[in-house]
Amino acid sequence: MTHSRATEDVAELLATIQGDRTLTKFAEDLRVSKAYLSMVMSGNKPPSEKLLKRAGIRRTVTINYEVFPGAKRGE
Amino acid sequence: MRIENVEVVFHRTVRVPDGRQPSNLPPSLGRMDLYPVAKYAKRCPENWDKDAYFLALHETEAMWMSFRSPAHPVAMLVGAGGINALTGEKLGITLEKDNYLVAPPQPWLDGWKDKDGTVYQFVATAYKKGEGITVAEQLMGEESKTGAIGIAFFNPKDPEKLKRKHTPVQGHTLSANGNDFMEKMGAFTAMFSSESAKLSSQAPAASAKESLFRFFGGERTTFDEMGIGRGGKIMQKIYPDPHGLDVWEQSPWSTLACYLVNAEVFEEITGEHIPRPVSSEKYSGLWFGLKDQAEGDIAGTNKFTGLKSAVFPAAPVQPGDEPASEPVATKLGETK
Repeated sequence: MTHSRATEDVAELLATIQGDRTLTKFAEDLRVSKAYLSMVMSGNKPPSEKLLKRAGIRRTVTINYEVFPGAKRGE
Repeated sequence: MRIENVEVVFHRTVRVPDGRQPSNLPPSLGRMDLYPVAKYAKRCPENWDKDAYFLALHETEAMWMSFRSPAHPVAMLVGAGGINALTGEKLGITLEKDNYLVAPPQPWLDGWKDKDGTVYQFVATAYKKGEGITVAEQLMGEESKTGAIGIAFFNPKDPEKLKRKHTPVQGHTLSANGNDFMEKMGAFTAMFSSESAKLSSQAPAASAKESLFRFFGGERTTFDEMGIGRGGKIMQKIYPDPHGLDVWEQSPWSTLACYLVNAEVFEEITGEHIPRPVSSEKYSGLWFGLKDQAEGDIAGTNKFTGLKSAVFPAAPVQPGDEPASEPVATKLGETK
């Protein structure tokens, strides 16, 4: 399995970004539901692209170009 | 293997007849163990990704994959050797119409997609750096750099808005071409405790070549890479995406690279036993299907049609001129 950012890593990053904010305030700021954010931060749901974007997190997935030769570099 | 919320399992199975007519879905003869490349790095080819995994297969052993995503549907690009199993094109990381599957509803994938509601079974064969008869080597030649299975996973942009589409009802039959179906992965369990025992007692002893090799003190130190070739036909639909291209994120959130190694060499090096493959002639258990007549099927491709079979590489390869290894009775589509 090759992925550079697992759900747990995102949860950790989100906790850092949350800082002193309550979960309710943090969810409001990110414009997602508190329940969904809680699931993501506990590692029970993967983060959506929208959530990552709003939190300022850029996802990077390592691509093995021998296994995925149709992927364009930099894609 | 669990990749965040998605469970992907590789199953050992019966090799179906490589004849003109398609078989029903073969059973699971057990999950394949996955081994981390990092743990066996010295035994693996140098170009292998150290974060990846590998599994061991015998020559001409068949396999299939199952997918489970309880939290929400996922879209997946699936291929082997760098070839997309649904289109025959190079495996990339961009979703395009009919080049991916969505689970649920898609519960499993047994082979390379053909155009007519069937797939060509995934059958292992030696990977020879572009000169072998894996599907990828036949389609890409020296451009092929590995026989590994690749899967790219895509989440929905908004998982909560996605309506879930369930997997069609499953069924089983007692023959490769019957039509009285039950569950593929659940119903066989009890039957298999006795069936597995029967099959394992039929397992051949080490070959004469292996014995000689051991006798003269030869010792293999590195794994032999395998790839996925083309086996016999199986009735299987790949359901079109029920949600549409627009609901999926543009980039995969994860990718899986799973290399394949020759089981005999793996056994020799590690001492671990890998169950012997079973052909349809020796298998007398259940065959499976889905009651999915009402479901659609993606376009598929005829790129796999003329390729050499992994089981009968010397056989004719013209469409409609493939070897019929045993008689079959079911008309295409009757049993779905």
